[in-house]
Amino acid sequence: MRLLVQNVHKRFGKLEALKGVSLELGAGEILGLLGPNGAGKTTLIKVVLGLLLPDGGEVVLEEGGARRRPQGHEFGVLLEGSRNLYVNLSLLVNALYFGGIRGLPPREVRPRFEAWLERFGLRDRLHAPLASLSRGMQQKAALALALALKPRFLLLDEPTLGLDPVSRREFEGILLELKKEGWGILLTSHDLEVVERVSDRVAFLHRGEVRRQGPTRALLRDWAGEGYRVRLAEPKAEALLKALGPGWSAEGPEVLFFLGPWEALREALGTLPVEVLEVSRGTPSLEALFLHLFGEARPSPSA
Amino acid sequence: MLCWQLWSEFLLEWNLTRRYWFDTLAGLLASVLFFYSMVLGLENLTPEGLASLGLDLGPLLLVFAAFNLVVGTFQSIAYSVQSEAALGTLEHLGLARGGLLRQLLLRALVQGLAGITFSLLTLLPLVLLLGVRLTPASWWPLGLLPLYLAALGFALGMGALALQFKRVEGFFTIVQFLFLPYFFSLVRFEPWMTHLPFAPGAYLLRLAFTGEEVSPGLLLLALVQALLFLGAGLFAMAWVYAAVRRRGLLGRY
Repeated sequence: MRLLVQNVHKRFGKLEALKGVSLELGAGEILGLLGPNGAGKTTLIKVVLGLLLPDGGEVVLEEGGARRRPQGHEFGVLLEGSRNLYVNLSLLVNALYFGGIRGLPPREVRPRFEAWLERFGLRDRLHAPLASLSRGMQQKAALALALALKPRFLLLDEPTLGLDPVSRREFEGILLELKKEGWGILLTSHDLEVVERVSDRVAFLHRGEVRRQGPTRALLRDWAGEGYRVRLAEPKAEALLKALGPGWSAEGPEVLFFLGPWEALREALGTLPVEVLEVSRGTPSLEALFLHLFGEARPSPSA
Repeated sequence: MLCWQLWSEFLLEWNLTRRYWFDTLAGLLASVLFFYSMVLGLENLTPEGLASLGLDLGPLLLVFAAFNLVVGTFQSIAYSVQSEAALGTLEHLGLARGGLLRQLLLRALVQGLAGITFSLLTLLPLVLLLGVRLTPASWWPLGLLPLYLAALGFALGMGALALQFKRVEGFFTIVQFLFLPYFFSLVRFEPWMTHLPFAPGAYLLRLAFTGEEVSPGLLLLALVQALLFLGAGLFAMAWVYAAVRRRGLLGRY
């Protein structure tokens, strides 16, 4: 079973939000959809769900040789910036309601929802109103519901938003387990460490176009040796980032990574107010690659 | 599948009523007090009471309950669209099996049934307080049907506007003039009222509530008119739903 996004175009007035986007998501696979704000990620997800009608192209579900337009209720969804659930009602009522409108009986939804809540440590809040939960807990409850609906594919738009580091780690583990169980997951997140660890493939979307896509490891390998790891004598990496131009990222308090030509690095090193202990060639992280691809989109602070 | 979609709307209605029980109770009391004080006021206008004005209290009570139901239905879909958009859950309703339109229609149906329950709960204390007997004709549900379907058609039209503009309360005030024919036709029905919205249905309802015989011609006219409004409402809603999905306005508030 595969979900195919084929040459999708979407325009809002003068803004061309999607310019011939093509993607593919199979069962048992996590596809990371990355891009800066306004790249078109949420627009694409809404097109897949049928909440937005494309101007061109199509979204197809391919199963056993048959191809058809998928229906919205076949997806488990976390929409970014959306409440996803009724805040004034209990978690259980929310689950039964949103399961019901997708045609699922309570006897199917309730045990699955309770099992997911148990896994998220929220089982004892089943009858509590959503409003009484913290932002992170609400996000977990919405995710538990998306999973309890047992959809064909999961579309998660910024699912780690509001989660604490521990919950984020748990969430990562859950994504990997879901993948093993055969779920197809489309994941958009600015939490690039999570995406790097869990995704099989990534697609970089910029101004409505897929700039690059491919297996995560292979994409990073393509850039192996193209970047430089700079070890500092003092833990000032984060502070220095503000003054450095595009292409720079921090890999820890004392380590900077630069993805770009040697000449640019040499020029930047000359201006660093901190002693440099070591410079070595290295493979970039997804964050470094992201900054390299999209850092130029905004003027650098020093410009 | 459809039964679970309908069941989920009952679940939501019941839980919202429970959650906001105080407001529900206050609304019920307000409705009873409003009508009771109106009747007292009218009775005090003449020393001979309401009968001298040609008003029969029993049918008047029933018409009042029906009016509440029709007005409630009329606003239901637009109100659902507006509140879901404000909460940020409208797009999730769009993921319902069969789509948003089906789910909103099911919700309107459930809200209609809740409206009937509310009306009956309003009638009960009024009947006891005023000591009147309600003697509608046995075919009264048939009399109510065209009016309800016409109101549903208008509700879909208002829902279509709410999908596009989200907040349409101001427009409601203007559109409520559509209910004037409802009141005209409660007194008498004349040929020129045939094409007025709600007029044939309301007159049919009057016949039912005053215990008169059903008029097949009028029933047919009211049903045809109601189905036309319903069809137009469905078309408007489907058309605007597609338009807002093209323009990316569905989830915006």
